[in-house]
Amino acid sequence: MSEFLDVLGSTALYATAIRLALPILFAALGEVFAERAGLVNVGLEGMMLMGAFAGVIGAHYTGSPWLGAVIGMLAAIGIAAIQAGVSINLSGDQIVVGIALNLAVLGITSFLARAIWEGGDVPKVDGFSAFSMPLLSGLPVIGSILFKQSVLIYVAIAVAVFSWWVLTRTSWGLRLRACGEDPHSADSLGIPVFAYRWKAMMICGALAGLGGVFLSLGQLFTFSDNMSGGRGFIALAVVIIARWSPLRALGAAFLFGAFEAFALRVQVTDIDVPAELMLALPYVVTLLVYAGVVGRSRPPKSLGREYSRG
Amino acid sequence: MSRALAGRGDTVMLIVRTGVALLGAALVGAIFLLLDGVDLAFAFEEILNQSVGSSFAIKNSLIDAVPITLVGLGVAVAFRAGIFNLGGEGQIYMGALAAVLVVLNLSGLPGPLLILLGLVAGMVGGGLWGGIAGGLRSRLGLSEIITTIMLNFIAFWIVSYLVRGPIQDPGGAGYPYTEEIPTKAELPVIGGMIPLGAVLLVVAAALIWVLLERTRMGISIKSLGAGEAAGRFAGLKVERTGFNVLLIAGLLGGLAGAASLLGNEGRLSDFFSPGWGFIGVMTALIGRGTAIGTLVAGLMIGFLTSGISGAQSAAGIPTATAQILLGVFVLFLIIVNTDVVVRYLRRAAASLRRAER
Amino acid sequence: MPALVRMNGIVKKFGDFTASNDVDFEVESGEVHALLGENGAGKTTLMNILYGLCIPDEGEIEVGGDRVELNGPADAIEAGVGMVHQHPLLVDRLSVVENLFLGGVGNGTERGMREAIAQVEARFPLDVDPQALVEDLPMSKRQRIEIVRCLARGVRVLVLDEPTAVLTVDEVGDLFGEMRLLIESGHSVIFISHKLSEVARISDRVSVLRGGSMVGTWRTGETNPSALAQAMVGEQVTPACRDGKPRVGAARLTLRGCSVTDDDGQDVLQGVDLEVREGEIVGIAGVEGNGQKPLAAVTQGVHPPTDGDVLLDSDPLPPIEEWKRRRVKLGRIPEDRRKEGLTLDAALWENLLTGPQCPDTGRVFSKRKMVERARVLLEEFGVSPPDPMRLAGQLSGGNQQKVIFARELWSDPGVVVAVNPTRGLDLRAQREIHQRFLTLRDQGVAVLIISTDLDEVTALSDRIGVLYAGRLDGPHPAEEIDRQQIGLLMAGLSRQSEFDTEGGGLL
Repeated sequence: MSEFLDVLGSTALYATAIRLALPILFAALGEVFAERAGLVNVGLEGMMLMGAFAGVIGAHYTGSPWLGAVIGMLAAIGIAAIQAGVSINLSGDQIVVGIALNLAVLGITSFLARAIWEGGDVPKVDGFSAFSMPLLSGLPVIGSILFKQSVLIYVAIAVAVFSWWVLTRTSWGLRLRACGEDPHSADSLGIPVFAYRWKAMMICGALAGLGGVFLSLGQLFTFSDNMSGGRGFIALAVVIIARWSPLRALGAAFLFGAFEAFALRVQVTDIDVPAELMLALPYVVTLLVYAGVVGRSRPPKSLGREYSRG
Repeated sequence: MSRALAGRGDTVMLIVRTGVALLGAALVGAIFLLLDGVDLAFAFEEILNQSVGSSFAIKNSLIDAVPITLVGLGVAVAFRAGIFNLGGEGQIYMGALAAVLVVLNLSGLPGPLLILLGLVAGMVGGGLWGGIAGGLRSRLGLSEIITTIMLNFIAFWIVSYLVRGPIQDPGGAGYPYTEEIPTKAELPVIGGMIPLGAVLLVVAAALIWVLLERTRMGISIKSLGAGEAAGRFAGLKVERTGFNVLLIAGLLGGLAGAASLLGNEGRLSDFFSPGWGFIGVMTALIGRGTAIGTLVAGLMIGFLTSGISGAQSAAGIPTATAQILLGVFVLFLIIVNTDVVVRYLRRAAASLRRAER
Repeated sequence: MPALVRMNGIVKKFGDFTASNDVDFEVESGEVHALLGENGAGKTTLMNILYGLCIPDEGEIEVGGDRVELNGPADAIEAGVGMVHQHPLLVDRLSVVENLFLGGVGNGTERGMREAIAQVEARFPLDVDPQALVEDLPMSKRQRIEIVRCLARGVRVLVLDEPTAVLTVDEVGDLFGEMRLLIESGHSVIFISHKLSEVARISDRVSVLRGGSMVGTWRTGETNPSALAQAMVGEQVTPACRDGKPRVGAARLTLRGCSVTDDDGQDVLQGVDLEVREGEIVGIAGVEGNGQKPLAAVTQGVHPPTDGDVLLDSDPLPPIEEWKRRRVKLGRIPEDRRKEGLTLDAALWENLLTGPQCPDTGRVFSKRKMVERARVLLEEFGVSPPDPMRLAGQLSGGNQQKVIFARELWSDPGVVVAVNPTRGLDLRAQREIHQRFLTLRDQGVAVLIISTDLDEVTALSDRIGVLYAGRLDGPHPAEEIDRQQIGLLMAGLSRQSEFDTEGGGLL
């Protein structure tokens, strides 16, 4: 028992938790924009994977992780554009489009990895290494949790707060939400519904791509097949649990990261619990939390419904 | 959903639309292969050879078709009710787990009985997993899109734990898999070409067809998919129907796992399924959510994937090509079935007819 | 003086259906111009075109003498045309202020918006709490928000789309006052309606649409209701009307102290007592939103009442899921035939099998036999064409309603409950449906009709009750209550009250 407490007390646990939570957080923040505008984006997984892949390609050929990140985001935006075009302009079923995109991206990334590098053996690239915030990283406990992380962490927190501000405190956010609540009314108010939904999906693509970039350039410094491994779907769950709020998404993503980090850290201690069962824990917890909040959540009224003028 | 891919219209338009989508997918696939420096003509010949070129090739293709079609049928039933079963992967693992436990522990029984029990156990295992998602949906209102995915992970880690611990093959040099099932429990191959699993497919497709087209439950399922309000007003047990379809999907997913275990894999590992659950979703989408369509789509995809993986080394085609083709094909199918494009296609067809005259 | 709005040669087709057939329409400044027509005559299409919600296939539009291209509501508002919808297009879960802000009131800053609103309020009162959520406000207030929003954006022409259908008599009076206020401040109003009395009361000129074509435009003072009715309908269709005394038998459907509390804790139905007996039609009149929905829900078995009993003969009405097993025979005509009544994407034979009234089909049925049974049934109920393989969505409204009748009357139920059974149907279909009810009555069926169409209620009912604010007055024998008294009850006044009947006369 005390060994569990040791794990829970270790600062490394929380540092890992944040690291694991980040890709999911970025994707979830993107999804908040999409869903607030009325779009369910199941293609999140594919956008992350594309971001991870293109990020590595970009970093490899330019030698700069920053340019890699930009290229990763642009590639994910490309996928988002397909999702947007088919689901917004053509009124294709949002969920089906997403599922198809996920598989296509899985195939394309794995195909290209093999086409570029023999056997799909992607080399290591320069990524975002941990970055010690001057002064602050010296703080006890909090210093090593919060301030000795990859620089993208600060970006993530800033993006979460900024998203919250944009969605709830600006007229742009108000209009975007109107498109997700009642596109028909929004249209009659002169709000260009398609344009807002497109913008939301582009933002979603960019952030999901950034989440993917963090997976490849912030953690493993390389690309492997299907490396997003379902995190896009977890981000979908995070958005529901967070009840469509960017700030709560911060908490929900961290919660998931914490359980995953816990499962990983328990393995390196001599506690005798099966590692694999511990790794199932984050998913069980996600299900339980979801079951707990579902009654209280009110999704955007027109979520998942295509809009067209009669 | 039924409308997402099955836009209305006559058979000619259906064929035209599917053809256009197929052409689009083939074009995208060809571009990728050309970029990779693949000799297209040779690759095509090799794929054909490896999928239908010999009775051995046909057997392999059919074996590939079994799990995806069975999962696909379950996905299709759920689709018709407007429910997305993305949990095929977890259902396959739980089905295969239940089957392997039964077959290994009751190995004293005669072969046919063992096979039957294995398949039934698989359905129970998968049905449990589908049923959990169904219960969470109908009782608590949780979206099956989220729950089935979470259950996939949970099933995977349970199996991963078991095949590295309690049911690991003691003679397996530490590999994460179980002992091999006894030979008598393996599904026979009829005439060296038709695996029993393929027969199972046809039977399952026929049963699902009857369910959807010839029973009141089928009508309930379809009317739920077309809109909840009408069903509720007419007295359908909406929640119950939602549970039922996920249960049925689970049963079929579990059967897929068991049939693959007994028909081909022989042992359970934590790399048992190469994504059959999601390929099954594609199968159902391409089959437009109908039993016959899913059967046909499943067989085609089985031949395609088996052909590509057979041609992999000789013609230098990565297996990922199959994923690209499927994903892009479904994407094009959605596009050509949207009202906007259907209208455009119709106008184009009409002007073509005028031009002929 | 040039017309403020001029629409020339407007053509709009939806597939094979022509919603606007070469329509010319003009509005002068400073007038209330009524646009009259039956449901489906093309009034809303024409106005949606004027408001940019719908782009015409042909024709041109001028506002204030300038040719305009309206590709969206933003263009229309820019040109000076605003629209107030019957169910105002506001975002329910946002506050009044947020909705006004969204509507582009002011220069984009909160202060600018407040100033703009204040300016409008000097001429036209908003009179609602600006922080209130729209979903908590009554329809009349929501309409007012839309009017204010249009005014604040400098609109010169206001289109009011059948605003009175969702208002009480008092509120209609208020609205007409507001319309006069608008005219005085130099605006023009296009008032869409299908109620002659309202048109006669408020409009300066009136245009009549029929079947997508413009029949003509008259000065209201120079025409008369019967001429307008003739123009609207085109041909004389004698309405169905009951005759003879009902042969009334035992009570079949009984409500005792039925109350319904909705999800928000509002008591939407309060202590309703009602008996419907064999061989009679009981009609329930009332303005929409006064308890029709909950009354329909409990009598059609959608959900049980919060309090009180619904008895079919002497047994409580079981939950609808159990009807099939318990052989409950209650025919139900739902309010929304497209959403609740039918599965539009399914074939007719499948729709007929969906209801609880369909006879036993066996575990696995023969499709051939089912289709054959469906064909016989469709023929019997006059659905044309009686093709069971057709999708329900491909039928006209009248035919859809007949399919629902076929399904619900399949097992010869002794009780039928209908809600707004002819809403949106043309006169011919209306007459056929009414005849069907009268036949049922003569066959000894107990019929309950809940309808917001007063003509329908008075033409068919042997006894008439009135719903107001969730309470039921009556039912009274039809001979003992006249339209004026019903009108008073609908407005929440007692029958005997000394009410200026000028106001009630508009009913």
